[in-house]
Amino acid sequence: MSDPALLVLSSLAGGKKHGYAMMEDIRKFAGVRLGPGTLYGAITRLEERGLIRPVGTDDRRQPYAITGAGRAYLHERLASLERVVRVGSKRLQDV
Amino acid sequence: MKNLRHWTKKLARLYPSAWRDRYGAEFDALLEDIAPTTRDAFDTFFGAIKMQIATRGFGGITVACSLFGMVFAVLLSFTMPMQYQSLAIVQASPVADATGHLLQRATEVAFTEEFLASVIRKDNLYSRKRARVPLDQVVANMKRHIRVHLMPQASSESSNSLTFVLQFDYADARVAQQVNKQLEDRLMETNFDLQVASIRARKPNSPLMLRVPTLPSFMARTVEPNRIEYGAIGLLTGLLLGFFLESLLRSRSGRPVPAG
Repeated sequence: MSDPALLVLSSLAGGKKHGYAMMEDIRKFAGVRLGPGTLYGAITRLEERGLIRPVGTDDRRQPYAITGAGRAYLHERLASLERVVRVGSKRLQDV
Repeated sequence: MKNLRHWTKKLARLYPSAWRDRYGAEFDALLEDIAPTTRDAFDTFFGAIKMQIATRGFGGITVACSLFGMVFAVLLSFTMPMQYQSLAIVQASPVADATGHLLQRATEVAFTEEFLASVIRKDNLYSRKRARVPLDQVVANMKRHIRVHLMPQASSESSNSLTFVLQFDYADARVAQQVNKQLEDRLMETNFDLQVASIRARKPNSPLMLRVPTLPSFMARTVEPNRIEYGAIGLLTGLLLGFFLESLLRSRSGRPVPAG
């Protein structure tokens, strides 16, 4: 799975994080290191669509949190992926 | 590593200004937290281009690349070495339609590859090029810098000769003059041999008579690189590069993230 938006949402589902924390978290749970341009491309689009929101801070490191719409979207995408995983695994076993 | 961080931060300035206003500070903070790699620098560059496309549309990249290519090429032309044209005047008679052809033939006989190779070696011409490519290619290159052309304004119906210019272009004015003098001498000698051979063979056609004016015949002029040509090439290259870049980015940004 290398969809940056899905990775960012999955990371934020575990709690608010700033860019570097997201990058490290994603590297740990998905084994993918997002580049800064890719990460902020995803953050920009997710914020525009209201799936994440910035959390107030005085630091330059801006934390983000997932929104309700973001949780619903992530749930929907993961369910879809689960179906794919289930069907794919079953077909592999049948062969 | 510090240098790469510096350059990645510079690349981050390619993002649209509105995006920089909103995310610039935190993006810079992220670059300070990580140890940017070359891959991160490219990722930042492509991220900036994508964001520019998102705000300006695809056509903007092609236009920007074309303009950049043109400006870069024109600036590059200022770093190109000057060329010097050495011009030697040669008068040829009789005044006839075939004179130009006879002179052209005389130059072909005179400026053999062996002769030009000996001049190249003796005057140490094109030393850098010779270090890279075989001598026959250097000779072919030198041939392109030797030209013989008629000077119509100096040749009139009433005069008994036609005026030609023997031209040699080189990066050094003094060497250009020195080599062109050798070319002129060689041409005169060869033409003399051809005259003698023609008379001995009792050919009906009158041989070509060449002479060098008594006045100093050599001139040299500086020729700057053709900046319009450079600009046009840069524009075209930028246009193609921009088009390629847009196609590449269009294919890369085609994935739905998320829901579009």
